[in-house]
Amino acid sequence: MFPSRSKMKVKILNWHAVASWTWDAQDETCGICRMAFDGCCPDCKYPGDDCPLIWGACNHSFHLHCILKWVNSQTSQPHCPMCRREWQFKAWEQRRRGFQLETPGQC
Amino acid sequence: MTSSSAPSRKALSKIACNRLQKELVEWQVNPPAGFKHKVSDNLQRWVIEVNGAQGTLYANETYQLQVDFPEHYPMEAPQVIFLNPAPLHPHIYSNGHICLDILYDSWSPAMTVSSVCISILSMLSSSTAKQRPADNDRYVKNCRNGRSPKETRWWFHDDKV
Amino acid sequence: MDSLAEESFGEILENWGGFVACTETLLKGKGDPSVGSQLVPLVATLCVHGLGSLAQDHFLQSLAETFKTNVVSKFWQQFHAYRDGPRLNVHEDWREEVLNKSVEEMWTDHEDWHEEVLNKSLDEICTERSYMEKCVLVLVHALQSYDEGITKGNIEFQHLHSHLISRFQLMVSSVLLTTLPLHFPEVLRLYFRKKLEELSTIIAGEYEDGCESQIDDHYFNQQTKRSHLGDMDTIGTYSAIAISNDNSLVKSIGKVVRELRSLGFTSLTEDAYASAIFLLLKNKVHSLAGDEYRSPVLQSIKDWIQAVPLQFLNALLVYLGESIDYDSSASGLKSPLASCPFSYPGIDTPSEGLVRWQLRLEYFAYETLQDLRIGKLFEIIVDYPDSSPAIEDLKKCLEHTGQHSKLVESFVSSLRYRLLTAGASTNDILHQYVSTIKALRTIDPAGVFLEAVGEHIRDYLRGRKDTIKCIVTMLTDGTGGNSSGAGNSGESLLEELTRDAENQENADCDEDINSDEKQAWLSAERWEPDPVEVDPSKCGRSRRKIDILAMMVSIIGSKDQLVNEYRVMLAEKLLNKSDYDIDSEIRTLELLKIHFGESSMQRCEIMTNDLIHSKRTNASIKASIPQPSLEGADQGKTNLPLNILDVTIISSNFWPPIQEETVNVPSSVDQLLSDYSKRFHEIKTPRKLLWKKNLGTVKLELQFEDRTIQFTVTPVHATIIMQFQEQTSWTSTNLAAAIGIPVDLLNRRINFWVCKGILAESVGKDSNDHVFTLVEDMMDPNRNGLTSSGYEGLITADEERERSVASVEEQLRKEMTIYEKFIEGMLTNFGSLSLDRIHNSLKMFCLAEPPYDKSLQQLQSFLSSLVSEEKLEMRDGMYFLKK
Repeated sequence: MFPSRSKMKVKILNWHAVASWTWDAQDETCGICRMAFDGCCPDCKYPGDDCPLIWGACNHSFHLHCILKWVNSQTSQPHCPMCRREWQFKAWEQRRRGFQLETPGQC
Repeated sequence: MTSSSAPSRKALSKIACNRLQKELVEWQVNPPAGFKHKVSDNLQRWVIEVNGAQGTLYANETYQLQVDFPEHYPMEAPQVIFLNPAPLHPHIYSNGHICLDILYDSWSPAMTVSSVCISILSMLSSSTAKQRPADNDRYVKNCRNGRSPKETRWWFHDDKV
Repeated sequence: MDSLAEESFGEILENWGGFVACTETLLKGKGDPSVGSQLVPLVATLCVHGLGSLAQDHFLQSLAETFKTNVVSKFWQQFHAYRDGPRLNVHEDWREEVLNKSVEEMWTDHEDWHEEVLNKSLDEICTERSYMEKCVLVLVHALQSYDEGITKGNIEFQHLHSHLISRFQLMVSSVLLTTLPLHFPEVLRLYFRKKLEELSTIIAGEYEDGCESQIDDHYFNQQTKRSHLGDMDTIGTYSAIAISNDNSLVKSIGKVVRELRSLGFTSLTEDAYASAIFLLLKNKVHSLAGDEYRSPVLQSIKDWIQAVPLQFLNALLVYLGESIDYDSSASGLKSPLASCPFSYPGIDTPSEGLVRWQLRLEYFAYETLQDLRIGKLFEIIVDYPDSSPAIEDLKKCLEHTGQHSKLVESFVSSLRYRLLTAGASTNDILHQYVSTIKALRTIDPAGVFLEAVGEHIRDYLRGRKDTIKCIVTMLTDGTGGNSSGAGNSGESLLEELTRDAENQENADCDEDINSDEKQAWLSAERWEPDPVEVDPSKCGRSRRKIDILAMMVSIIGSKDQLVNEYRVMLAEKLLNKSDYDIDSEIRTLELLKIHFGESSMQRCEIMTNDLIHSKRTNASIKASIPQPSLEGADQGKTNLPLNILDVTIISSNFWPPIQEETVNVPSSVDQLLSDYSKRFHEIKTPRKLLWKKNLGTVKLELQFEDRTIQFTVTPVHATIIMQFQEQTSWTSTNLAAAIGIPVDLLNRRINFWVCKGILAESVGKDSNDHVFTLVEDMMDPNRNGLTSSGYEGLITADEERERSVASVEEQLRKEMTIYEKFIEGMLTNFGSLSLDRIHNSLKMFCLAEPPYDKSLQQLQSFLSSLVSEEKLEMRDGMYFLKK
């Protein structure tokens, strides 16, 4: 028996899919506030663009707001809370921010 | 009294509160070996029982750590001291103050109560002699007015112990 | 002395004999004037011998006997026809009922019964009576003649006259009352009732006639009267018609009353017409109010009281030429109510008696209407808000009678019997609860009775598992999910939210504390004492604002549970959107935020924000990809255009746990998804998308040779049907493998297509393995009507959908597990702890994400599950670790 070729065609008019977003970080939680990366830091209300992640040159990531608080509280040269290396923002972050400007209405 | 020597305390910030609750839950789920958190309803001051590790000078001895958290924890280090009687140790003063860099200059917000405890236990475990620091009397005398160890300018004796 | 005595004795005997004979003649005869003159010397002689009083006694006794034997028995005999056997012999308890019944019977049986019997016999007896009175006057005259010979003054005579007349009257009434048959009061009642009804018909008729021609005149009269009397009452429809006191009907009634009174039946008569009036009023109330709840009746009842019974009473009193003084002993104390500016149309100065009558009648009307309404309160509330006029009436009645406790008792028992039963759906109960709150709020703004009634409903609802769900549905859906369509209280719950929002805005408050204080101040100003019926144990919170939402929350116990259920429902709705249109959700959420506080609704807000952001991101991603050339689109099904894809991107940390199932969507779709992800990653570096391929909605069109049908389905359904493009027949095992879902899930989902007649199911070689075949021929007779319209079969409700989100119960168990270690830690430290202690410690320490927000009951059920898992032990209310 041949599986007969169907005379029916399915035309998709609209496919409304669901996805969740995630920061592609190595850890699940921020080492400083211990909150989920995909959530937001304790100071923020909304996750995502409102409370972005930031990577250091050492490849450790934190909520931007958390690491800034730490960096600003240090009188001497700040270090990475995880590895104690001197804290430097990872260069490609600049690029990412460039993209962010494209999407309107976010701080 | 050492217990009253806590710095004038401001209530925990929201961030600190959040963070400590997380730590407490984590502690309950996965407490560091040799430590027991004494449950109280005070989130800002933890009292932790330390059991000396087997095979060390402090085996079968129990001490109590008192951890006080500042308003801006974890951006600032907690104040950690031993309650009386403090263990005899070259880096632990008789008033309970501990000479350990991570509690002061080398604090990092990624550290937790649990990781601090482990550092303290390892400091105890690596001791080869049960003795007070050489400058114990002078230091303790200086601290009589209830000075916090965090106000001390520490120079750290050596990295090994 | 002896001789004198002997002589006198003879004279006395002679005279006495003459007097007795004379009396007899007088009583038997019909007004023979000569008898009177004969009597004079006889009486004089007897008086001389000091036997005057004996003569009087004899005279009256003879009168009494004659009256009794000749007149009274005949009088009673007239009414013999209306006496039924059983009535006289029944037991006391039954009497009233039977009497009422017999009145009714008489009413119907003796339709032609006429007051003539009463009139005639009354006339007769009164004639007899007045003749006898004349006889008494003859005696008085005789005595007077004797007196005049001795004394000149007639003070003595006046005294004698009234003394004898009153003795006579006493005699008459005592004879009548001692022989009174039991049914006589009833006869009277019936008489008055019939007369009153005639009267009320006349008045109604007069009104009909008069209202058109004389309306201006009446209006004018009313105006002047109002200003004159400072009228407070509304003058109703009948008001302008006054019964003139020479009305023949009133006259005839008045005559009867007067005759009855002259026979000494004063109070009997009054009782009779009073009870006739009350009966009439009761019937009037019942006929006006009845089962009609949608219009107010109280005013028309009051108008009727003014128009009929009060007019009648007034006319009667005027005719009788006196105002009845009900308790003249208290005349020094004027009734405080008498000074009320009542208006009596057509009556210039109402007598105190009339005012009292009005108060009595109105109180009776209030009580009757109140009882009627309370008895039907359940139906009235079902009908709320259409029935609000009935509620308003009831409120006014209760204000006068103060019998609120009657309402509570009666309503609670009808609730128990009719609503709080297994047969009632939770939705219906909730709807009735809302209506009850609203209705009782009108009657009792302090909420005291509501408290008493509501507690029963709440207690009952707490025992139902779907209560929270129903409440949330009512809050969010306009229809309240009420399939029976019995009302739209769902909408009104939303209304409540809206009203609440407005109130908050009006209060102009930024901070909760301020608003609370302000509220407290406002309510303090409006303070009224609680009604006396209040159970003191329940009036601690004496100043509660009746807030329907708060009362809903109080069923559930905590607002967190409600918010949680709402979040699950919201997630379900948002995930099943095929567009980004969430205006109504946002509106509801905004209202809930006002009510429950922003922080409680934080997660929900993130969810709706996700939808808003998704719409934007979706648009910019699609804009950033060049449209595939037409050529490419033509080439085949493998390249689907990106514009058919829309994506909802969620912040999964803030959503309820998502039910994830793997499914292999068709490769063309998969390609589209990965193109989309890539683009997203480029725009939002370093963020990435994680697909929930089983979630979402797909709109598709099945194109057969002869027809096309559109469906909106889940991705799994779409994936299934797309497999039948290549191959018309699949076994369930093979198909499940191809799609990458478990066979049982496939069987559940594919059923949709079978039901729609697109696929046919048959048993394969292996009896566990079903074979599904595409039905290509529309002419299959089994499917007639299914495909008659090309745009049929959109998935409508959730019944076709599996839930996208884990239910609250599943979540609870999962969420509580986080605290398990914590609880174990505490128990290790303390050995044993009470439920309260554990609850409080968790509250204290678990404030971070996820904060501990469970109720004591939830914790208890979790702990008992730990006990049943033998992780914990419980003894004497303390929990221990199981060793």
